[in-house]
Amino acid sequence: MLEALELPREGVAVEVNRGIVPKRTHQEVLLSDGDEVEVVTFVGGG
Amino acid sequence: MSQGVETRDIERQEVSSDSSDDALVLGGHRFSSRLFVGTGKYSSNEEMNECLEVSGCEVVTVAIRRANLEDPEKSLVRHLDRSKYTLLPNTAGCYTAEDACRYARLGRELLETDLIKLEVLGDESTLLPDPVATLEATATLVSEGFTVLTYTSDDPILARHLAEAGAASVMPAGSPIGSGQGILNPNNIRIILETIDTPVIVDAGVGTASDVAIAMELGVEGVLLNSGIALARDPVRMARAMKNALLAGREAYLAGRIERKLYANASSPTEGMVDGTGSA
Repeated sequence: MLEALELPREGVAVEVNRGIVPKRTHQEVLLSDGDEVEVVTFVGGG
Repeated sequence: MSQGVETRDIERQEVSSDSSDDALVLGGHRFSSRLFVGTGKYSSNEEMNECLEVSGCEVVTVAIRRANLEDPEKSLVRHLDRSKYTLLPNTAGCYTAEDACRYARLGRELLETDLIKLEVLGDESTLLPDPVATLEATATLVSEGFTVLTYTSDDPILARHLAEAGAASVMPAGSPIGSGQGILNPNNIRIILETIDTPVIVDAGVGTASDVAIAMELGVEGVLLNSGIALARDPVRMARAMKNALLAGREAYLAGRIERKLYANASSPTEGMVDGTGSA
């Protein structure tokens, strides 16, 4: 489960295999071996 | 207007003489400040916030990067007041249209906004935009419902293509990103303003306050800057200078400058001179 990653409640967005996983569905998403998960946030930039 | 390159015809936009009502509209968004400020390169988050406050900006740009789950403090999530600022995610660091669109989608999910500052770079040393990929990504993101603010070079033909592709703002660089060289080719900016109706925002290259004033006097709708404030010796003071320059430049543009003349034109009366003085 994506939940097992213990992501912060706000300030992150998640991609699994290059597809966005909407925040409201985070708890429902099941991960399989080999899935590529990206977790991003926002940082200083111009 | 008969003043050639000096001024843009301001009649086409109904501008109130009351500057408090001089809002900037981009897509479905309305902003009271025309200064967009980046959040990179400050020595601390406290300094960044003081600069943002003093600059009077409403829109602040942020970059999207991998979250460090061990060190969440690296994120700005706890350091930017989202009730005060509109966060504008950028696609900085992307070199292909595909990557830039991916970052844009991540930004939309992350910040729940349709706004995106699109930049697709062509080269690491110049940080100039890749014109072909920039146009392609603009079209893609517009079709996906984004309000696309596109960083571009000051090429008027490309600006026209971006406007036609549906960019909400065309954002020419005054000079290379972070270079502080100011507006290198004001004539290209003038031509862009003559060519397209899409709001133009000068993005990149601002080194000091006069660069902002010059950009605004040309008739652009706003200025986006970051290093010019963040790397100044006194960033907070420079933030104030940028704010004042933007207001001065905007007011001067709306007021309409005098024509440049080759010869002098006395301000004091030439009649009524005391006998024996003045020209023959």
